[in-house]
Amino acid sequence: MDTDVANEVEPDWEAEEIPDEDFLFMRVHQDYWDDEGEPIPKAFRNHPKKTGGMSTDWQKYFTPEETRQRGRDAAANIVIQLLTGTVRKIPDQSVVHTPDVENNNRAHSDVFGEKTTEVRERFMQIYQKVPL
Amino acid sequence: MNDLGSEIPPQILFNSDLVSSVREPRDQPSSITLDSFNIPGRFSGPGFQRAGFGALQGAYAGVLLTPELGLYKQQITRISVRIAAAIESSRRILDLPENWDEEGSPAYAESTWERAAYHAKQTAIEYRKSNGVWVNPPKITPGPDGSIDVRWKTLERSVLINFPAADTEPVQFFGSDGDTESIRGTLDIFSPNQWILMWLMR
Repeated sequence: MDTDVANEVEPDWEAEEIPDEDFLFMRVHQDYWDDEGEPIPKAFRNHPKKTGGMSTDWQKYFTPEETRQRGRDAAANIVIQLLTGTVRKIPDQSVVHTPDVENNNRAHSDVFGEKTTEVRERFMQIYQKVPL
Repeated sequence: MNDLGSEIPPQILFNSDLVSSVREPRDQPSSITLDSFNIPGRFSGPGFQRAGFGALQGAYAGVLLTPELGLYKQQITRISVRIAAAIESSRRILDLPENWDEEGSPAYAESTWERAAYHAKQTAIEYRKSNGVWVNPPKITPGPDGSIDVRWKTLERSVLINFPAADTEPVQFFGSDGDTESIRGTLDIFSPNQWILMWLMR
């Protein structure tokens, strides 16, 4: 195959169903830490300019360290994990596998739904920090 | 001036349509709303009814407080050092510039912080008056869209209160034990709200 053609072939990543028992990893930048190095409620937010959801990585394709390394400054990030089934129990939240071909991130997944005060507090109650 | 330290006796207003103004949980155990505990406070929405004069019933404390019983309340004029430090430390939120997170977040207005700080201080003082102890300081952090979050937490429960940038917008809160009990609604920060800490410390 011509190398130019080979370089233009994009991976064929289909969106998959994420099981309830799997974890989602989420990078939290230091801008969203409190004085004790824990996430603040504002960390749980949507990205309207990107996918419109809250970006996470599915454990099937990424480790927590791989998630952390995707930040511009890995050292300025912690990684937390969220159990998919528990996230789905939060009002109006849905978990969708949205592989990001452009950024070579097959693990990318979104948590869609408005991040109200209640929703942000529920996320605060269920997250677990991943020691790295 | 009465023994609660205010010129005007506390007025109790509740919204008889509170249930319709609060989102119902989906597929979750029944939640505890303000209405079901007859907890004083002024709630947003139509249909206010005057429920009584000067009588406060704290369901979690199990004590009926009346102006007469208020005679025995401690007069608290200063806040605990830890709570004062937490409130003062949070003032640095005002130093965050426009787009501080590179995601378009606005800067924070001092008036927003003052409302959050006032709530934290007054609520802690009122709780101390009623229960004789200081609670642990809340965490006061930047919220979405120029709002400020105040989060109170114990080992078993937590409650998040959001103070919007616009003072015409309602102050919303949600608290839960992570299992079966939850509270949600809107607050009038100028009414006594120590019931939130009474629920938290239960």
